[in-house]
Amino acid sequence: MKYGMKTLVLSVAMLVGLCGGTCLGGITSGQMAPVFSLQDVSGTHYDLTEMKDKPMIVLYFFDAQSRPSQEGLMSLDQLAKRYADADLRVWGITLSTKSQVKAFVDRAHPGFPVLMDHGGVSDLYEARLITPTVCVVGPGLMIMDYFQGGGKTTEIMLVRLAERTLQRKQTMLAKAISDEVVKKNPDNVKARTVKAYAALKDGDLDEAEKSFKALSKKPGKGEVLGKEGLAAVYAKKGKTQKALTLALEVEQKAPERAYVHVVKGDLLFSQNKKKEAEAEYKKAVQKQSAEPFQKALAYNKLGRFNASIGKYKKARELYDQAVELDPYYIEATSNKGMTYEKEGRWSDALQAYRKALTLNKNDTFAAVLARKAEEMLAVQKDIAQKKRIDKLVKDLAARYRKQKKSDKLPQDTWTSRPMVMTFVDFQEKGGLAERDGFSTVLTTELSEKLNATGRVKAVERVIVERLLEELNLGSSELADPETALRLGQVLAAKLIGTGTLFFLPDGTLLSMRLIDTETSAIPKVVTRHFDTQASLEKEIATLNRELLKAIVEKYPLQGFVVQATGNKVMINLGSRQGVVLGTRFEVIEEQEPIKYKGRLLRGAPKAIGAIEVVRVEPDLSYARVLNQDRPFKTDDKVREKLADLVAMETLHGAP
Amino acid sequence: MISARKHRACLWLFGCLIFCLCSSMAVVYGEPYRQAYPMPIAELDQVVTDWFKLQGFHVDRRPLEMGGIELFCRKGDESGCIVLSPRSALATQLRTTWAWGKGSNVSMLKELNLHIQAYLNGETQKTPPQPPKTGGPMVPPQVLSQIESVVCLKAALSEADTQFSGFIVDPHGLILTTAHGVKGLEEVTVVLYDGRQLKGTVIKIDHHRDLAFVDVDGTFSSYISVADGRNLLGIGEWLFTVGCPIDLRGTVYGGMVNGPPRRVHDQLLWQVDMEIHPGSSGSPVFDVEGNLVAVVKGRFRGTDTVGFLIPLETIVLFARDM
Repeated sequence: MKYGMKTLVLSVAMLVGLCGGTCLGGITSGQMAPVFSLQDVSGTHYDLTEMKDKPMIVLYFFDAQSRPSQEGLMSLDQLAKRYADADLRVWGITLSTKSQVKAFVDRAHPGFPVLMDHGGVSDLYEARLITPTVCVVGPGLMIMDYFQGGGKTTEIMLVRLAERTLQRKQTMLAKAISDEVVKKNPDNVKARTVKAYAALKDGDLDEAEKSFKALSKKPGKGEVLGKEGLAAVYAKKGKTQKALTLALEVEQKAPERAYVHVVKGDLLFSQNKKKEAEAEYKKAVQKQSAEPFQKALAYNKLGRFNASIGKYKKARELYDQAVELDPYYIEATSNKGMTYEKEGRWSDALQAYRKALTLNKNDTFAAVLARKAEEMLAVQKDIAQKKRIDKLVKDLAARYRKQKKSDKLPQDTWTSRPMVMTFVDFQEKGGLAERDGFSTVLTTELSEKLNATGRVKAVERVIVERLLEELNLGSSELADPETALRLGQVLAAKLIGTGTLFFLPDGTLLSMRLIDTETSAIPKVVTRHFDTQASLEKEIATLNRELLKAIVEKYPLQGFVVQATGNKVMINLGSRQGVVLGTRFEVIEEQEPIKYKGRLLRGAPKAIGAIEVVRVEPDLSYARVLNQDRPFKTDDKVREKLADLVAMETLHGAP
Repeated sequence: MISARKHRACLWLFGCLIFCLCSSMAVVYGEPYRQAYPMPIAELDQVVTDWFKLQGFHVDRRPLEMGGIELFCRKGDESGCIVLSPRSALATQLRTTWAWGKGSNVSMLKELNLHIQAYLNGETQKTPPQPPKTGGPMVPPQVLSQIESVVCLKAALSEADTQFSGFIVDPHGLILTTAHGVKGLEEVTVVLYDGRQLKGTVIKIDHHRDLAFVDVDGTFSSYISVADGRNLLGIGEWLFTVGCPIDLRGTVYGGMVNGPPRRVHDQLLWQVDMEIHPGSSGSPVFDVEGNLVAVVKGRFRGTDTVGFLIPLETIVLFARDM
């Protein structure tokens, strides 16, 4: 009887199996997963509603006594244990009895919970008759994939899961899952493709090239998939001609394939052939044959193109289509936010960024953009603040139009005024980046980081943003150094940060300069290559330090000794001028000029001692004397000195 | 039997108590540890907090007077306090009163120190440009950043269209290229990096040195200064060229000086192992620091990888004769 039942299960599996994606039954991808609450053997409750903010959960319905129904489950379990960081969450669900489950747990030591169902949940998921039934649930508890049956279906399920994992940018795990499949079936072209794309996404171009090459030697689908991938690799390597040749070959061999048109579109766009690029992106969207992530990429690229020419509504529709295909597409999700931002719809923008953050809470891009949107919204809500900014912006705009510089110079020309600086959006050139808003992220982050040091005051982003809006200045106008300079002067910023972002196939190149708005001198030029977004936070922190160092070196704080008693000195600079605890100053003495053959020869000022700030108040600071050639007195000049860490170590001078 | 909630409340109170003790530094059993790092306080705060969290600690923070931060870290019965205080805008001191629980604190702080050092070194190693690896040349940003100054030159000749490279050398639109490209021409079409096409006039040509100047109208913020170039190259030195072979603006190739300078008709040329294609002539060549060192003259006939470069010295002499 039992044997007969198993045969029945197997034959049904063979009939119904292989229905990955949309299925004939009631469960289809795109619908909400039916929620439930179940217990494991030890009585712990598991509630699916609590998983709604998790990126992915695999519900695996299996029979605790049937090994074939556990095959895929055990592979997943091993992978989940090996790649704990990748957050591969699996719940096993079974109709088996408690003692059968216990026996299974004792034998297999699974890392996942085994939930005991009494029939209700299996019915909801139509998993009573066929095991295994696998349901992959994505963000917001949406069903992404549904599979029934073991054997070949398990293979298909694993490949699909590898693809999903790749979409989540968990490249290591994606590679591992596809390896698992390839080990059992070396001819699985799809699994090998996923593996090669994982290498490409990791930036390991040589590995990707090798894998795609091997794939392209296989007849049929392998050749097409391999050459498609190779075209992308060569485009990234800057071997444009090779990439184009391969793209053409694929087009001839498999005219229905979409992805090569994205590759061609990107190449054309970076050659400034915008119209031709648009045509290619459109073809990519129209053509049906593509892996889901390729298709999503095509929609996103066409969306980016539309956004770049100001067609925000159209762009949003395309981004939505991209996300529908790939719910983990964080780029398309946050790109949608950018289109709202450009239209000043901050609340909608914030919603999109928050959604992006549920996909990856550590995403620097989305985090920075969300923070900025929150700030803008807060200003809109706070009426007093809004009035202040409106007035200020009007005033600044009027000054800009009249070409009037801000406040007059103070009488005391030696004492430093606060170091105010501002950034204007960088001009974007080169290719069409997959992700919109790099310039905003950079300028926002740098402003915040510089502000946080207390040494530099970055002009509030809200004001800059509103002023640009009022004056109707875009990044192309701001690329003109004259315009940027005038803007800086109006904002009373001593320094203005401006530059260009080049989107290259293998990353983004920032070329940035600081301009002195009073002298038009360029005290600092920085070029930096951002290859992946993984280390973006760190790269920006380094950039921040580099800028800060240049500012301290080129514009040291200068002031006077107000009082000097014994070992203590008071100076006329405080937190408002940018003094930070621990800052060191040299006390300097101007040298008497020497008269020689009718000319006055002026020497460099001589350092006669050093002090270190131990207490900071708004307009003054107290410092202790580190060394002195003579007792310091009122009106002695002081000048900031770059921190010397070795000296700091030995002094142990904690306040 | 204490309920879980009460238990949590007790833990919190205990935490607060420790926090206060930590602030007053009344109980210190471990060796106090003190180290300054060259980074702003916010950055060090991030690095330290991330590290503790990665070790499974729970981190509470409290702002101190004048920009300082106190971090209270707790994991099971291990807990301790880190005080960060600014030592100028660019440096921060980390001080600890790690004091309670297990005795593994010293080694733990050593690890933290190593982690911060590695964080700092990770990027300092990145700054000096690395020579390209075989297989995938890594182009230094100093070179890439000059891509905007490179132009494509085109002309329609009676027999066929010709196309070669050049670069802007001053803000007023003076373009340097090879003379053999503009031979017999008075005007050429100049395609800028951003795709704009301008009319260029050949204003000076020196067939002997194989160099020419083309002039276009306009002002240019990015240009490659000949005066800032570098003359003497070493054998085996890595070089990069940015040009527009086969009509692709901004194509970058890497290569290596593979022999001593050669003398051809009393002119010195560098021989390089570098991919050079039709249309590369006139491309600027840079060292790994992004200094202009030469101009591409052409390739050895029949190969794509043996090329000849006109050294900076010749360019300077040519420019000086203006």
